[in-house]
Amino acid sequence: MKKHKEKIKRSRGEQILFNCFFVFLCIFSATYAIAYFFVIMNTFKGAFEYIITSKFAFPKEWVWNYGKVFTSFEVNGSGYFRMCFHSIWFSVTGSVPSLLSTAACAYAYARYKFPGRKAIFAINLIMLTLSLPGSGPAYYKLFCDLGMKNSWRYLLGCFGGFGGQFIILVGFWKGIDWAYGEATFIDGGNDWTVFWKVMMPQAMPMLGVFFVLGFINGWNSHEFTMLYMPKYPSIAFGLYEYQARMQRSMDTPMYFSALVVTSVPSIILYISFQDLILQNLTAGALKG
Amino acid sequence: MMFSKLQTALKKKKTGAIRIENGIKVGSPIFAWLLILPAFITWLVFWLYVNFDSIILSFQKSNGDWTLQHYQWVIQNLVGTNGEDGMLGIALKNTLTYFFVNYFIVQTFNVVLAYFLYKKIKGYKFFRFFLYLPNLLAGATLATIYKQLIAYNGPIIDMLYNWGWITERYQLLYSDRYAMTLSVVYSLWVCVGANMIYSLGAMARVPQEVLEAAQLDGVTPWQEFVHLILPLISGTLSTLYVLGLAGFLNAGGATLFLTNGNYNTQTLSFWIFWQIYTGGSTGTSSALGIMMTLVMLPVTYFVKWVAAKISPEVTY
Repeated sequence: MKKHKEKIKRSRGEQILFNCFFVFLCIFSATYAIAYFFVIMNTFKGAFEYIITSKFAFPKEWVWNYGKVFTSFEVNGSGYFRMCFHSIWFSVTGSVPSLLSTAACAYAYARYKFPGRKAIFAINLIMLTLSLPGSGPAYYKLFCDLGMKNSWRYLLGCFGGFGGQFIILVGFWKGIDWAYGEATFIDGGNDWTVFWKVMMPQAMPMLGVFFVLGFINGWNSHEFTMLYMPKYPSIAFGLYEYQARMQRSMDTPMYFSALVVTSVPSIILYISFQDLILQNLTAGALKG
Repeated sequence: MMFSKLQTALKKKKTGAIRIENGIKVGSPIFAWLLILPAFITWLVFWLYVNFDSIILSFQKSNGDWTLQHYQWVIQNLVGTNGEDGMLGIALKNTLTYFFVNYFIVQTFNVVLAYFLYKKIKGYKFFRFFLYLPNLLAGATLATIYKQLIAYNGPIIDMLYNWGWITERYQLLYSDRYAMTLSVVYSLWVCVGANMIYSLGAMARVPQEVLEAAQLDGVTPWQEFVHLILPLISGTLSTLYVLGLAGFLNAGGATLFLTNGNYNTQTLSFWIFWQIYTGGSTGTSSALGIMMTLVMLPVTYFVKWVAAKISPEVTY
């Protein structure tokens, strides 16, 4: 059965305004479309043809560069597949411990009275509003001193629980009816049972959204591996390092192919969870 | 009196030994702290200790002697010598340029775009995905495309040269004169970001009855946007604008991918990042960071105070 699309009624003035903005958005989108067309078309050219012919010309000789991405694209001794593995590893380990820690922290703040409760919120507020750019060198020094650079020990720093997600999750936990918890206590359950078996399943959609966004961010991020894990380059760092090293001798069509292939996972993830992300993501107001 | 006592007793429900007051459980501090402990230890080590160490580093030479030379060097390079801008002075100008562009133009555009998407402009689902697409791509991706498009042998210079609009093929990103401008243009090109998503999410929560009543009264889109939508999402907007201001000296663009900080395109945050990456002086970068924090802190809290005064707390 076809869904009946409700036609939105607008006044004459609204129609003009919306049509003008629609035209503007079309032009804006067209610039992206031209850029993507330019890249995808040039992924089918040979390296020499790319240099000597017009960049918007169709390939004279069609070359399959996507295969070369998996065989020739190498940075710091890591091929494309290994870099993908590093990216997945860093994205997951960067998101999951932090997310669980934030959820636990926000739940404790939202649902329990304990000594230092106000200090916890103050810490979070300070971290949100106080940006300390100069801490980079000291952070790097600590990383090296603790033997975390190029080591699995970097996981020790992945349990952050404060920030914008903390505030959103506090609001979320406060919105869940405590009757669920009370019923569990009556049935003989303890605090851990309430948190892990009753409350956390209800938070899964929101945590899932944060995980997807964190994964996409980790997948596209180059800074962490660039500074702290150069021996295990992620794909984003690999893309930067390859073009920084190769410069004029770069096989540009092959590099474009690597860009296209790397973009696919984040796009698929976002398309799959777009509606969920929009439903669950709202920045709350800062209070206090 | 009996009724109010009954109300108070009902609020303090007792379920066995469990006490819950206004939705908050009393009497399990150990469990609460166990949940908080990983985050708290991480904060102690990777935030509090690190920032404390950062202050120490800014006053120490590499051999451990105390010194003010890092601050002197930073100030000298901010102010410049012999009438010429210092390296950090140029970086500061670039940072402020990016900040004004991002804070006033980009952020505002994201809110306005969110409004039109919320009002279901033609093709809103397509635009919502397609305009946000650059955020889903690695930083190198669109920056590389942009570099290739405006390269001296790229399609744009080709076109302008063949049409006779320019007489020489400019190396735009390899020129002191144009590199910074083109970098800012890139920031504007990829301007749609998370703020659009946050604003759209906040607008989605606005009660439809309020807007329908306003439409019956004949409000224009401008009046609806300014007098209804903005006040109703003021909580979200004040958060975004306060957080945006909190890092105003951290503002920057895709410097690493576009120019690597060359041709007078460095920003303060890029300079600090590059010092770490290349093993430069930790003392001077820490000193610069401390000075940036001392400037940003009062401004941030002032803006937060102003935001709280002018934007009412709205609940619905």
